[in-house]
Amino acid sequence: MSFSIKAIVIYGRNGEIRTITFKQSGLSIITGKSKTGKSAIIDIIDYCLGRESFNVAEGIIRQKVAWFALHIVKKDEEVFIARKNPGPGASTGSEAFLHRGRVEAYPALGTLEKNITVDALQQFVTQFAGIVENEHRPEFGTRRPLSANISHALFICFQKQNTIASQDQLFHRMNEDFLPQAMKDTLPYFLGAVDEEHFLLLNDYDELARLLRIKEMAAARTISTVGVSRTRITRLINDAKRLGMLTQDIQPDQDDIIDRLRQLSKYELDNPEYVPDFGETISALSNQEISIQKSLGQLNHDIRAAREFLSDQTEFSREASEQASRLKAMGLYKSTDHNPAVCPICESTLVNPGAAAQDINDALGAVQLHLKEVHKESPHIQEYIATIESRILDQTERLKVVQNELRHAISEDERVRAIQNQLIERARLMGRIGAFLDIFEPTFEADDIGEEIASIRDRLEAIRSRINSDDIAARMEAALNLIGKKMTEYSAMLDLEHSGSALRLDLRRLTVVADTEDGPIPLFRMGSGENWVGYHVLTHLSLHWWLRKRNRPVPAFLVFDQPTQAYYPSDIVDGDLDQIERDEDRKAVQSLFELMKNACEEIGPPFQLIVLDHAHLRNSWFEGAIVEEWRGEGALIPDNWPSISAIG
Amino acid sequence: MLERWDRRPPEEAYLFNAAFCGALSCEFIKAFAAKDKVGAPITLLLLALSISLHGKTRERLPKSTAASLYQWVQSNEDILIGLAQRTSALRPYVLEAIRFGVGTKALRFVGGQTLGLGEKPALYTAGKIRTETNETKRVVDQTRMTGRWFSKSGEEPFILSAFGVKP
Repeated sequence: MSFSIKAIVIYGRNGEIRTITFKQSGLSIITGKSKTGKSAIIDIIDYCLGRESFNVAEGIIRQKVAWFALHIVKKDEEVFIARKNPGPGASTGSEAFLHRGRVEAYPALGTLEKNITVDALQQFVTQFAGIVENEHRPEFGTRRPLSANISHALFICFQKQNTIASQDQLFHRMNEDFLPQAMKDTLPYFLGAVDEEHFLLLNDYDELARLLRIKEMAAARTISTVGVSRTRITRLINDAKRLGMLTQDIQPDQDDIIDRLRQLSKYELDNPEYVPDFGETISALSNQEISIQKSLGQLNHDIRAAREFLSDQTEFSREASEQASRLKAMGLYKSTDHNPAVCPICESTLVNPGAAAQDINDALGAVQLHLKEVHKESPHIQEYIATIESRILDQTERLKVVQNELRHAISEDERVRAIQNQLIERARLMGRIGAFLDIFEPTFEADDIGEEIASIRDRLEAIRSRINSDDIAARMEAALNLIGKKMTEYSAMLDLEHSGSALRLDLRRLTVVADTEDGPIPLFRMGSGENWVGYHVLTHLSLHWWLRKRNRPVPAFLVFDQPTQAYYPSDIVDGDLDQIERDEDRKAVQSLFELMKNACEEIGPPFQLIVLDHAHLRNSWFEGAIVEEWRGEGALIPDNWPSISAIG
Repeated sequence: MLERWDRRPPEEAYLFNAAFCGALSCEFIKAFAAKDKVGAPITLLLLALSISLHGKTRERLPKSTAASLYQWVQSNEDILIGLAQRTSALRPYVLEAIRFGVGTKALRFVGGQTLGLGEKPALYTAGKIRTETNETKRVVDQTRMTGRWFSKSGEEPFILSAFGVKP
């Protein structure tokens, strides 16, 4: 369901309003002589439907019109769009006014002011026309995806004066750069080979493709992270084995290695049993050892001294005993009175008196006394020595015991230390594992992503098969086939050069082709001038027949500007058929309009065929279709309207 | 000449006291003159005591008097080391001992240089010798042995020269 034109509304600079109302459906004819503004109609409609550039010819219209407006309807929705005349010389105008809703009366000139941007107007009209989210995605090449909008739809709604008679250009605006491609890109959509669901699928496809890219990047990141972390993982696993936290069979490249590491990070450390501190014991025992050794040293020193003393004594005793023994020789003498001062041999007085018996006896007495003393001492010393010896024995025993204890305590201490160290080492390893896992992306594993990616790819494939462009091509072919059939049917009503041959639309070349016995003949290779108009007319009528049949979102109007231009002399004023000289020409014109009439009856309503022409046929249906006659004083613009220069 | 008794170093004085050396002299003379002699020359007495009072020498003395003096000296040549000094050091003590012995009638001159036993010789009896130290016993024994040995070893000059002593 699309919209049709209820009226064109023109505002004079004096505030007057000129309304041209069209029939909602069927043929609407504006007949008139030249220079009455007929050809501006298409430009006015185009401009009001959101065209950026203002293409109305220079002259009266530009001077005298303040605002152009269009009143369009769709079912029971009405929209009033007005655009300000940018004035003479200007090629763009940006002031647009939109009113949506029931239009009881047209707004006064004074109330018209910009309330919407041209872009927004375009978007609105596109939507109002029923053109939804759509996109032509070129399969190959560098063209960006094209979204069809109202301007593309209008390619097949207008046939300007120059175009309608052209041999080379079948469609409106196909002489402008890039537009032919745009038309080819959007026609599948407008013809319905591509439907709305298609675009939803395209959208889904895009979304999924984007998601796939993200996942693939994440997966790549994960894999590289895992790769880089292999060394770290290996080291952690080896340390864990060394500390008895993992069995030897676990390998660093196992699939579940990250799980294992997670388990390890939660490993239950043994509650450290009360660990006796051997430090103090060892210290105490060490001190004891030292003190005993000191005391032993002292004892040994004492005993040595005592023994030396004793031996000294013994030595002395021995000496003294010898001396005593020799002195005792005195006892061998029976006579002791002898005078040592005199030599008994020669009786001379000795200078030094010799030893006297008394001397010797005295000496013996002294020595023997000494000996007695020493002998008295000796037992004490002996006893003392014996005591010390026994104490030395005691201490040596004690020392052995202490040293034994010490060795034992040290080895216990070392054993316990090793256990403690292992505990500490395990705790540290758990810390390292935890730190590693934190950095390592604990939230998902490579496998999950792999599955996700596979699933996305599956979905993409499913969508792709539904988007299958072959399908579209086939549908296009079918559509064009049917359109071609209609074109052929219509051609039978016109006396065309190749009437009878099958006609078809060649979208690649954007032209009509007649499949004759001699081969396909495109429009640009067909003969005389009047035929071409016929092809234009029948083609567009066929297209609109199809569009209305399939309820496509193309506006439900078609405007032909001067289709009979080739037949009427240029200076014609009267539109009567009899103005035309040649018989064939008259017939041609008659056939043309009859085709149009028939087509309008056939094409499902609402379909608006607006024809702007010289001709004024005297058929009742023709006259019934006339909405404006611009002969004599009549024209698009009332005479009395002031021009812009008049207002100043 | 010896100092006065109270000025002598006690060890020497006591060990070589006149009574002891005198007794030893009696023992030597008795052993020397036992068979056929009236006494012993002082020189030989001095030599004998130098030998028997010197521990090392004493212990080297032969077990039997049948040993040849010369051969024994040759076999024990190191005996001779210091013998001269020892002899001359002992001399004053021996002279004092002779005076002491003569004074106490333990010894008497029987010739110009020959000493013999006196009326009351100082001799060790078996009982007396038992209570003495081992060394004393040894000294006495070896003095006796030397006496016997010198007695049958020839003339005085011969014995002296065997020991390298000039008369």
